[in-house]
Amino acid sequence: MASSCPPDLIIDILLYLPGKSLCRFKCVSKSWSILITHPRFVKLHLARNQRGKFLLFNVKSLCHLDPETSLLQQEPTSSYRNFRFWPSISWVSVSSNGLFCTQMFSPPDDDFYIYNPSTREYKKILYMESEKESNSRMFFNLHGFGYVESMDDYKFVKVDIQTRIIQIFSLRNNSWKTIKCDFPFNHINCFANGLRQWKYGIPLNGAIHWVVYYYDGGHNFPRIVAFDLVKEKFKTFPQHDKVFPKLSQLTVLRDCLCIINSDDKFWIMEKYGTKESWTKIALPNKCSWKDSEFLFGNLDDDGWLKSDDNHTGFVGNKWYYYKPVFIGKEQYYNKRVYIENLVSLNFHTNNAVANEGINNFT
Amino acid sequence: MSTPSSSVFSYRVLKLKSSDGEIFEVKQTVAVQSGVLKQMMEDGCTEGEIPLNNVDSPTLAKIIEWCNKHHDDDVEGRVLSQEKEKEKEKADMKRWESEFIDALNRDELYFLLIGSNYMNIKELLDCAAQKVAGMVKGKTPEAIREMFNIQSDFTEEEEKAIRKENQWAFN
Repeated sequence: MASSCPPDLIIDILLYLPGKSLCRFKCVSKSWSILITHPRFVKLHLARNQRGKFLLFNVKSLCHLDPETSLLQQEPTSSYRNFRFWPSISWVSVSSNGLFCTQMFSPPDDDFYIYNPSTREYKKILYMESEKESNSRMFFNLHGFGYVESMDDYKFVKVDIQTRIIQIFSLRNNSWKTIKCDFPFNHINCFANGLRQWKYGIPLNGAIHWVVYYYDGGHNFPRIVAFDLVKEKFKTFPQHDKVFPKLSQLTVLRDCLCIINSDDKFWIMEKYGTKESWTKIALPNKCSWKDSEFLFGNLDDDGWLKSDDNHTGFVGNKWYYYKPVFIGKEQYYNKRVYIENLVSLNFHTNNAVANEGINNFT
Repeated sequence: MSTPSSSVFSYRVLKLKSSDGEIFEVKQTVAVQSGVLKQMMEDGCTEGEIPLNNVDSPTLAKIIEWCNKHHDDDVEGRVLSQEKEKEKEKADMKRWESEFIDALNRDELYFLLIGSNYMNIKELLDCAAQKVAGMVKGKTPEAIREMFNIQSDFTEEEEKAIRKENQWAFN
């Protein structure tokens, strides 16, 4: 292009590139590699790229799907680093700030991993010593993974409802801690409405949200409970009679908690934590698939993924089109949405090194 | 571009001198899109010719074309009551922008990038940067090195390692 492109212009250009190109361009030179992994660049890139990408998975493999290009890229579990055995994917959390937490079923260790789909980086999370025995009671655990902006940290939370013990892993500190939980879980019916809701919560605003069912002797009634990742305490959300009865999915839409009812009615909590702010919203819906799962690919509702057992497709607000997702004979039942974040999973140790490096670039 | 200097503020013109010595006259209300010229106007130092040593005349002509298009002559006089009208105008502008950028060859685009950066015209800079990003998106590291005239400073082992680590991004 020209003999000397000023460094700040290179930054301007690189900020418009998708993560895949940037990972490839780490191989251009040392200064490019340092720039692309620099925390300040990573934050700017994240702020500019808020459009959702999709991660699809079954037990054997992950698949990346970019709605803009409709490109699919498969990532077999055997490509994961440092696995001794053929593992399978047990579950993948809901994404927070671009990262996932996932558990592999690979005896004898059912390890947790934190995973960045934008860089394909994995980080193995070692168990706490006391952890292994409690695995058998997994069904009574609430799991959650969320980003805390004020602390610039990612936390994985595991709540054992029976023993009332909460284990928290902080990615920044790279360590576990255990706290006692005083939350009244006594009347919770762990088996109501299937176990799906139990496994991983919905992260938003530095808290993780689950729908749990309380049992009053005659009926199960749902309620949102939230774990505040800053205070490391539980809180409840007041129930709203109109919103909850037909609840089928809790998710996030337009930066708000969103409840999707079984009759495809959408409610969003416009003011976080305020009962009166639950508002019914309308989405264009030309899709008649029943029992579908919704994934929103954007902060607004423009571009989302809808699926049921037989179909997966994109439905846009301004455009309507469906694309089934099958790769060869593989069918991907599970879908997640994430935004691109190039953050290193070892950012707690890398920062000092990177700060030194940026001065060489400019 | 031949409006004579007058005492009415909105019709005052600045005389911009390109690196190759050509003079361009631009209305102040148009020139204000450049952060650099805006600052000069606020400081009251826009008398005479303003030398733009990093911008040649073909590039400056392009930049002024962009700024004229993005300048709204009669903002207050016109009422855009209809949302649709606004939407349409936005879409028209987007189309104009992409046609404007797409018509440039690689060198022109590069000089426009340098020029808009130098004159601090954010919208144009973003538009040009986005266009370049689209051009480099699918390229190999080798092609990038050639394009930006970069020497790899990796040792053979280092390059092998970093390629291995990011192998997935080459598929």
